[in-house]
Amino acid sequence: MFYNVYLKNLKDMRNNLIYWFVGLITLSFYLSFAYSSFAQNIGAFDELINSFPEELLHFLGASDGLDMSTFGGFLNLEIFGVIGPIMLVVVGINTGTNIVAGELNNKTLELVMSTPIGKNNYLFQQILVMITRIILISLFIWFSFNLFGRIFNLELDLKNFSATIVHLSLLGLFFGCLSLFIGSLTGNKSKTLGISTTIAIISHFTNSISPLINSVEKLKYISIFHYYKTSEPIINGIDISDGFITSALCIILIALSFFSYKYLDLN
Amino acid sequence: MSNIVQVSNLTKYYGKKLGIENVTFFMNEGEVYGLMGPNGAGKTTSLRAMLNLILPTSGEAIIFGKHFKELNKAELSQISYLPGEFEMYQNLTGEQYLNYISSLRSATVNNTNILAERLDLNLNSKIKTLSKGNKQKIGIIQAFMNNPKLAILDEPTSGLDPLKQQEFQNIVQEQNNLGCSVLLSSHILGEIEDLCERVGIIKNGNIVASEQISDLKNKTIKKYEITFENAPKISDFKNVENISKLELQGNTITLNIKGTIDILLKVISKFTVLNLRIIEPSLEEIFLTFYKE
Repeated sequence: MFYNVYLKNLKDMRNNLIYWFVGLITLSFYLSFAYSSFAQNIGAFDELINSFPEELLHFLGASDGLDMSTFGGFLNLEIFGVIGPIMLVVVGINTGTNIVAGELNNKTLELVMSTPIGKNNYLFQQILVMITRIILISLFIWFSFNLFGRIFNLELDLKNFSATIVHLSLLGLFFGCLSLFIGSLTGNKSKTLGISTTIAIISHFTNSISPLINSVEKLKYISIFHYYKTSEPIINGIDISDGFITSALCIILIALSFFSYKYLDLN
Repeated sequence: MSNIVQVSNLTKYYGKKLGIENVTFFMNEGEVYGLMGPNGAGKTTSLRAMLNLILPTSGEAIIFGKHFKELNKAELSQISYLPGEFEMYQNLTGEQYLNYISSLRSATVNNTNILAERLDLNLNSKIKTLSKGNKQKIGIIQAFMNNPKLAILDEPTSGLDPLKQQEFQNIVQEQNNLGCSVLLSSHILGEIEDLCERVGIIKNGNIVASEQISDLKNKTIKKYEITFENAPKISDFKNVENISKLELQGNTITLNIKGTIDILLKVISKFTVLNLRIIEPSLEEIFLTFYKE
């Protein structure tokens, strides 16, 4: 398991992934069980939620209202509105930060980089680790809700649910790439975590608030959260243009990371 | 004998702050070269700049006859490095960590177990459970486990007990006999004096001397103790150049001279000399001389 950077890091995150899996299984069981319990009275619940002010619905990540009559709609509020993005953004920022800034902070990078591995190869393998981690956690979410949806006989549009998971993975990957870039630029773990988290929070609020104010409505386009969920993939499936924009931003951030890491002093 | 390392005018500025300036030295193949200086003098910066871990502002390091950036994978795998601030992945065992580093070097030779036995180290313990000294032993093992052609060691005995420091010196000498050139950075002068033929003295980011230890000793202040049949006068020595700490006690004069003693010999030849004792300076005294200048 210790033949290269990718395999070594896969092994390192093995326990962490097991905790994620157990946590997500527990969460999905709880939510699926809860939904199946109050599914009969969901109409009244739906009416109540849709009476919420538009501003509140935006904060809940449900700008087009909430359809609680389906399990997908329920998950759209409970998972893909707040908890899911927080989970994937945290995973992305954490993983992206550790690639360069975290290793520098732990003083483990200097010896590794004195071997013939080379900066580009190291970064390439670590990016693969980050992508693997984000994909695996996203798959855990997909698998666990599918599993308990079936067990509790809850209808879930597999195609649109999968589409939302893809959008969620891209959101996590974007913040991973952003943290990687900031870490490669600064070499400082605290700065990287601080700046990435601030950008995530500002981005979320920009997307939530700007559509409510006409004069700043277009600001929503600078928020990555706009490309994550405004197209409502749980209803409409994958939005190719949103997916493309997020993927393109990830590629640009990765390219910038390679460039900045090349010139980063490892001290 | 060819140069295995040639460092020329290596300079590093961090913004406006000077790290090192015009660091220049060379190492012969098969040599153990010492880089001496107190903490903060620029030893670590010089080694990092040599290995391109930090990008030099100017200057170059030529290793194995090539610019460092032009070294291929096989050549890079023949260089080992022990950082001064050495940390490892806490969740791995010593053996796992060493296998990992060995794999990154694509090494075909692995002397891990032999070295671990000599340093009395259990490689099956998790790194997070090891003491500083034992972690340092892993650093030393990784530096020599793949039979490198060039080992660059930054403060290698930090945290080691005296017995293991002695064992470290034995390992360095054996590896050197096998053809490994060693660049040893340290502020422990005894260690450098025991292991190195030549040294570079680094002060405020500059190399102020890079020579054989014996040549340095010749150039620096030596202490002379001369016993005469009849005591001379202090004023007899007034024309001797670079003289200091001249003292007369009975028929014996003690004095320090830096450099040539030609005039001293001419002066004392006028008297009957019963005994002449030259006290060689230790490396520590030489070092202090450079630092007081």
